[in-house]
Amino acid sequence: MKIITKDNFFNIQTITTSGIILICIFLFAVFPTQGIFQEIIISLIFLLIIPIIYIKLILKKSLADFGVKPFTYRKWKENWFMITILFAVMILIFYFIAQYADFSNEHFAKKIISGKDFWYWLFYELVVVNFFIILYEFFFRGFIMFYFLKGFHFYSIFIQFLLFLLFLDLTNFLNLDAIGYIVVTLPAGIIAYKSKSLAYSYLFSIISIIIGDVIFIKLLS
Amino acid sequence: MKKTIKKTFLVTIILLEILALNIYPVQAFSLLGGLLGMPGGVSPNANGMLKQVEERYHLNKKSIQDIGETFNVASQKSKAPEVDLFFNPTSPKFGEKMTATALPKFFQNENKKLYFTWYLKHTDGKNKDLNEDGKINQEDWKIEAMRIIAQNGFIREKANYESDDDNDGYDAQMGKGNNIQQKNRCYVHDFKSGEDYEIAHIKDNIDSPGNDYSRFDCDGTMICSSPYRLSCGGQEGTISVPEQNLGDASSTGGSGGDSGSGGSGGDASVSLTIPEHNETIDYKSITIFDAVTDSEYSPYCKPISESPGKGIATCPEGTTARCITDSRTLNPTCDFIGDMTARVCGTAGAEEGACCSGDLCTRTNPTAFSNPGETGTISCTTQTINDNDIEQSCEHLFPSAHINNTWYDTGDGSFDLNEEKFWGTNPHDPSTANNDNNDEANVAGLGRDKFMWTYLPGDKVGVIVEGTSLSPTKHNDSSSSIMWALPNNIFEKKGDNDCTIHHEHGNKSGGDDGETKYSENIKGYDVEIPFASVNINACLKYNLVDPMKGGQPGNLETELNYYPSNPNKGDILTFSANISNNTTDNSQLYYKWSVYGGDEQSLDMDDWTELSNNADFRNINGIKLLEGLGLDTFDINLNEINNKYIRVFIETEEYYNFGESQDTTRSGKSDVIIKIGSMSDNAMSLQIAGGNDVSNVCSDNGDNCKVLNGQIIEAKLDDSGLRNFSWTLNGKPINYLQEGETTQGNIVRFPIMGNPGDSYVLKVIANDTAGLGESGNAGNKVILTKNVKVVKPSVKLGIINSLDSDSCTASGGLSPLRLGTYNDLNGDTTADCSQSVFVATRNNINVPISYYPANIENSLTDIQWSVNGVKQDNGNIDLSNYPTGSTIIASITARYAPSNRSELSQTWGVSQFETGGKTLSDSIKIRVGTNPQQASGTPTKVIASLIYNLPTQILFLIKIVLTVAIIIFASGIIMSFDRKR
Repeated sequence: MKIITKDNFFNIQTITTSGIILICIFLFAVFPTQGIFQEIIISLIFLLIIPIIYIKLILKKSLADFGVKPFTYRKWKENWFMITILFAVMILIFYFIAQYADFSNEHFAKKIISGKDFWYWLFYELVVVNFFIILYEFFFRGFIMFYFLKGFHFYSIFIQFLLFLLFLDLTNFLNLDAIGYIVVTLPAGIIAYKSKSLAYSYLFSIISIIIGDVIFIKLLS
Repeated sequence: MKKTIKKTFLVTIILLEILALNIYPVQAFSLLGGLLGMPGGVSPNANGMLKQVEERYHLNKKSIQDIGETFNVASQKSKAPEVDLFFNPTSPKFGEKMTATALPKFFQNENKKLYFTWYLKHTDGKNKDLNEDGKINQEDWKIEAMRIIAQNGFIREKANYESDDDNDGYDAQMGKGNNIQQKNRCYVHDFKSGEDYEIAHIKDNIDSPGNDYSRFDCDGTMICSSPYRLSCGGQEGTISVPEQNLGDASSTGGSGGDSGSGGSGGDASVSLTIPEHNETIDYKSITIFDAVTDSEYSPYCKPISESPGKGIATCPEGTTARCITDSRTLNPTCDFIGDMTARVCGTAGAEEGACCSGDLCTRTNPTAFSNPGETGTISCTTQTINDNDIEQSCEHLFPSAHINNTWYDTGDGSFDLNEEKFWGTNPHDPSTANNDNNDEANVAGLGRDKFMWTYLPGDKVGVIVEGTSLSPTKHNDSSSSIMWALPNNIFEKKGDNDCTIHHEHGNKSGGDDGETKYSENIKGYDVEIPFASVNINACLKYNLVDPMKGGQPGNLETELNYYPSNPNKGDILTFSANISNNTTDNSQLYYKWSVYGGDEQSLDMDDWTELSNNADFRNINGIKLLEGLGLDTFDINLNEINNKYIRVFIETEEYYNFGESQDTTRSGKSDVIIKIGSMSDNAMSLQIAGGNDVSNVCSDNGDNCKVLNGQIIEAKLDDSGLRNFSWTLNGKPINYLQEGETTQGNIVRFPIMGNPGDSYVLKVIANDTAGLGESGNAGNKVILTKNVKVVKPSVKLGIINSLDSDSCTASGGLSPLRLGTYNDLNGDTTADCSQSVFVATRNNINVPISYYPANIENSLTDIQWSVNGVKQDNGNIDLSNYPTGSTIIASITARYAPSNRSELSQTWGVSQFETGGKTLSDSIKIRVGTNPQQASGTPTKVIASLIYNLPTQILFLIKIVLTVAIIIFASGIIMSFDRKR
């Protein structure tokens, strides 16, 4: 079995993979689009399709190596405590952010819900937010973090975090509207790192963000 | 039935009257007759008796008189046989099969027992002398028609005329009645006088009765006398009544006892009483004489056989024809008799012949009173013929065959080979026509009530129907009148001596009616029967029927319909013409429309002014075509109609093939008068109700009404001249009343709760029908509708170019990006201008904003402009901060919510969650500083052109796929180097 060390990690494959990551992030930000349809296509292509094709065709690896594993009870038993603690921490963080950050009544969740009923907001959370969380989970935790896990181990969590911030900046989304995504990135990475599965980090992210939005709406209305 | 009862009752009354008038004191001891000495027993109370009868039975004298007057002419009102002809088709064309159907009426026989002798006449010169008698006349017409019937399509060339073995003779009975009559009685009905004349003529060896009217050989007065007994008074006196002897009265005493001596008998007394009685009796002796009186019957002249014009005076049974020279001998008085009795023989004054006996001369010859005047055979002259001197003329009118100078009658029971040849029937088939009749019966026309032939222009047909009529004869047998029916009932034509009902003497002077009669003794009475002769064949030419009803093809039956039924100004009035009897395709029919205007309800064309001939009128009211082929619909926009009524005419024409250069056209015409309502749809306005701003939801012309979900719309109708209103929305009544109203008025409100794309039909029906006690009901009425469509509100940034401009319009420093050019079929070009990408032509731009619908502009709240995500207060953008060639995104968001949510909730029960409003937004891209006209170029390369014109999304997907492919391919190339190493 070949032991991957830091020395032999930095090879053409790593360079190529890094280039793919940066290209995807960059093209996602600058590719010209018109309309929601094209934006969705862009999201899927650069955050999901290209990484999958690259993994399968170029790297010739299984998606399971990148955290695409089913939810198992055994894994849950091993990690539930950590997830719970992190969740509680998230709630607190959201609370403090909502209390002290200057949202100026312009948080997107409030915008969404104003003039609409509850069911519209729930649809937004479960479909729209869910969609992006899946993409982000796969691309940043799954593709980036799990690839750099071999070379950087625990620090790959921060690598994906930094790259996520870069992504948000390039897409002009690095503002308080995206605070939920920013905050859950690190804990989600930890959970993914620990559980070696995106299922738990995904669950954690979606629940945290929904709860966070509820907190924001409640406190800001 | 009613008539029969009335007649019977009248007869009964008359009989009663007769009875009352002629009651004799027959036995001469009638106290009444005797006392009064009146002859004949005429009761002076006859009128009184009849009056009592009238009163008893509630009979009105005038009514009975009416019945009597009707009864007098009843014999002239009988229903004579007639026949109607119907044709199919009604407007035949040259060479087309035509069927004539005869509908006889007032015959006893059913159709299959009538004789139908058809005759067919072509236009002059086209009939042939079929019977070769040197004349072309009605007999040839009959032959042509009956040949068609007898042959029924049989091709005579196929027949073998060497022998005849089908035994198809037919013996035609006169009238084909059910009863076999002793003697055929044929009659003809005079449709003018109503009389029926027996068809007969005076025997050849008998002279005509001449023109003398009836007169008697009598120098005095001819009467019909009846005898009676006259009582005249004699001596009077008194005689005494003798005493009555009642006999003796005696009595015997009683005997004594046995022992001793008996006592003596007692005394007995008897008294006799003589009843009371007259002592004297008066007497009077009378003398009875036989006398005669006028029975009131008129004597008539009974004709003598073989002595035309001569007769014998005859009176009814029980009376005597008498010529009275001395009227005193009729109904003689007692004084007259006395005078005659008292004549002294030999003295002056004694009448000759008086019997003289002794000193008295008594007229004992009863004939002086009982048989006055002359009786016996009193001769007279008369025009009535004795029935032995006339002959019946009762013959069929069937056509006869004529071959080899021999005439063969039809219906004689024999139909031999020559007749088969003549008629063209099959001598080996008893029924060549294959129907219920044999050949001769078909030639006779038995039951042949339909006649089909190939129509030639100018053809005329007719039929003679022979049968037994409903009228019985007066003869003492079972006979009913055998009569003929003709299509036009013409049996007599003025000026035509052949077609006439001929009376033997024809003299109408002297007061008689010109009739000839013969007298026949029937049941003891001499009955006079009028008779005449007639040549029905000579009248056939007057009884022809033209199937074309006057020689012209029938009119096109044009029906005109229109919609809507109550048009108002502004409505589109649509007409459609429907022709039910056209023979060609609708596209071959020529239609001509015309429109007239008027202010009066009049049919007189002087009251109408033609409007459609004015080009301005046609332009304003949207009239394009007025005439043309197949133009069966016609529209008119009632934009400008200044008249109260319009009258629309449609004229139609069809080319009609009449054959042989006789083509013509059939035409039809119809028109309709329509009242135009005074109100146009613009009389109804729709506005948004509630809120601070009320604005119309319809365009200026009243059409194109757009509303939004959650709006309350107020509809208002100009109510001048109207009282009553009924509003409906999509057919359902609108439950809205203004404050204080108990009935709907001219203003109504309703909410719009629908999705974009839904439409509503608002309808109002109004009139000025007045209630009790109110006035001013002028009959005004209005039915107006408005279509209202629910639309989705939106805001739009940028310029909205018109669709017929060749360039992209700039406004506020912005110019739409030109994407291309549309070329229409006329070669005109229209610029295709982008609605989302604009080019700024200067540094300070003002982004224009449009609202849809326009009335939401003042209802929007929370309006927020932003440029590249940065908020700003308005649409003014300073582009100096942006590099030339860069693209900025200008966007707007606004919130629209219904302004009257509380009214919706409280009045209409609409949940607040349904009226929450919506956010409207739009964004455009603005390119800084490039020439917008350069953005579009004309691609010259094929692939570039293809790519240039592909839909945007396809292009985008192609870009994505290429990008992905490049990325993967490049990474794969790089990784392959690593594997190789």
